[in-house]
Amino acid sequence: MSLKLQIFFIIFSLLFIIYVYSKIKKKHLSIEYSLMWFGFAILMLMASISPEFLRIISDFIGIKEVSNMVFFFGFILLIFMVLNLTSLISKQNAKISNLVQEIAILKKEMKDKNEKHHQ
Amino acid sequence: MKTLVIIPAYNEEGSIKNTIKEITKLKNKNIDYIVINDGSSDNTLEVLQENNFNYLDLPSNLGIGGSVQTGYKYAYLNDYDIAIQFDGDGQHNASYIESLIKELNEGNDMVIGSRFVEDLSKFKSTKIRRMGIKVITFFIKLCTGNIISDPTSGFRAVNKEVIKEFVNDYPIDYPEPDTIVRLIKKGYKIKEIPVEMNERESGKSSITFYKSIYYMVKVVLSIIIASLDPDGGIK
Repeated sequence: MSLKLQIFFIIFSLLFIIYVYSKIKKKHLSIEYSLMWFGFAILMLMASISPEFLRIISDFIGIKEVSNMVFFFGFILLIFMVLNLTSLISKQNAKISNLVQEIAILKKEMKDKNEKHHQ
Repeated sequence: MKTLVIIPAYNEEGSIKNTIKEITKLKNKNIDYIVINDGSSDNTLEVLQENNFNYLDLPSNLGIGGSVQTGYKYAYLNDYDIAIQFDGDGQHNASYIESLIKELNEGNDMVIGSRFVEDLSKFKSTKIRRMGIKVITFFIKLCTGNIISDPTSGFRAVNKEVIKEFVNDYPIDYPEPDTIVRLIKKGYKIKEIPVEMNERESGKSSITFYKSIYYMVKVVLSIIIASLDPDGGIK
């Protein structure tokens, strides 16, 4: 990796960390997810400071090209994250429908009370 | 026995009035009804208000499972002994409500009004849909050993224990076959009785032709999952 490219990657990862940090600060990310993104950002920074670190891992697993390993694990990570997001959506759907149901029942109770009051 | 008829209604402005008339015509003071307006975009809500019907109004559309479950929650909160699902589109025949209740009193936990137990019903829906129902019946037999001839029937009565089960967990869409399997696996007694059903008076069925393949895959998957883990579901 050329020095130019390496400097670019380091700057990019630093910007990414700052971006994640600003999201957390504005409370646009809960701690649960911010940990995951922080881990991701720090991994990116480490890899750009010392590409050798990636080389060692890929040699160890037996993947010839470092870039292949990065793509492979990046892909797995994304799949995993999308699965977790759909599961989160399902859970939130269940919560929302529970709320909608409760609201409907409360609306009816209020209406019944008002009618009794006016009689 | 305090009985609640749960009528889910999504865009049923044309038929809801008749449906309710059918039920009040029974003149059984133990039978109350509640309409669940599932965020209809037509004038269903106005019809309910003008006629002073008993209704719950969902602030947004939940689909058939979510709206029926609202009815079960209402039944539970108001201490009903029996809850009966009854479509708002005029498909079901109110004169069978009392036969469903009778079968519950004989010790069954759920009684399903079926089009296929005996040849009563002139209207049996289209050929393709009947084939789909047979496939569902086959999978339920495979997973539970029980034969349910009309597993998609939305005309069914349950007792207090099952009401409680449904308050805790009810599938979001296409709930009928799924819940049948869960109940059988938990040891509840289910019985089918023959009923007549009519063609829909107005409005469209919730299952359109294009959705039917998707529907079958989803239902079969839900049957298998339900039989593996009857207590499961998103809490």
